[in-house]
Amino acid sequence: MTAEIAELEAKAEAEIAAARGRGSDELRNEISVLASRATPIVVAATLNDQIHKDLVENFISKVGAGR
Amino acid sequence: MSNAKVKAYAQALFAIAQAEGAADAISNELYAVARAYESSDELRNVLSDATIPSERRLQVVEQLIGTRVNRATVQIVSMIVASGQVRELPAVFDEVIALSSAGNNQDLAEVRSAVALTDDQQTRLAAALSKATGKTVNLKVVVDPSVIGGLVATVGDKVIDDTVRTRLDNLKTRI
Repeated sequence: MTAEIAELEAKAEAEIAAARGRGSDELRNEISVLASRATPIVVAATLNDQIHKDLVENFISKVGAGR
Repeated sequence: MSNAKVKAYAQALFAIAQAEGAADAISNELYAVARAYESSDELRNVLSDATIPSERRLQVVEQLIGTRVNRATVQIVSMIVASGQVRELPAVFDEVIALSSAGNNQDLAEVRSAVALTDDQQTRLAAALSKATGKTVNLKVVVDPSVIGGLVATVGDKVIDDTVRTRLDNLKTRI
């Protein structure tokens, strides 16, 4: 009986650990999805006129130099 | 509409523009109309809505561009709208500008930028693209906020992409 209980306990612990892992993966995925959606919005909001100008000038220089 | 049909339409429209003696100007105007059509959901919805009477849609065309472009441009856009082929408008007009560029021994270089470029930037950009591709280019700049920052240039099959959007996409893929 004790052995059976120990076996059941071990099984339950394994299932809890697996469930915890799944939950963690799902949470990580959700955070990743939210971050990837938010990043372009945040980046766009931080680009000021000078940065836009620098990006354009950098492109012209690189293309003109044959990249 | 098949690619062959798009080309056939474009050739016919370009012939009209040539006959008007203003092929370059009309082609440029058609290109601008195509970009406006692409970027405005409202305009697309109105011009392509078959439940709105054709006369009303043609009035919208007249109100939008009637006094700002060549008469032939208005007539060409109206013809496309009336023919029920308005969804093909960008493809057809892009082909018209390609024909116009080729007629001037140029290659169309479409550049998308998050912000408008100054005349000086456009001049230097055209020179840089000509140098990089070995072709004389007809530069067209499209302001496209979706690129976030930087530029992407398309000359024929060649694409030079240095946009913030693509950098973020690459970063996302790596993560």
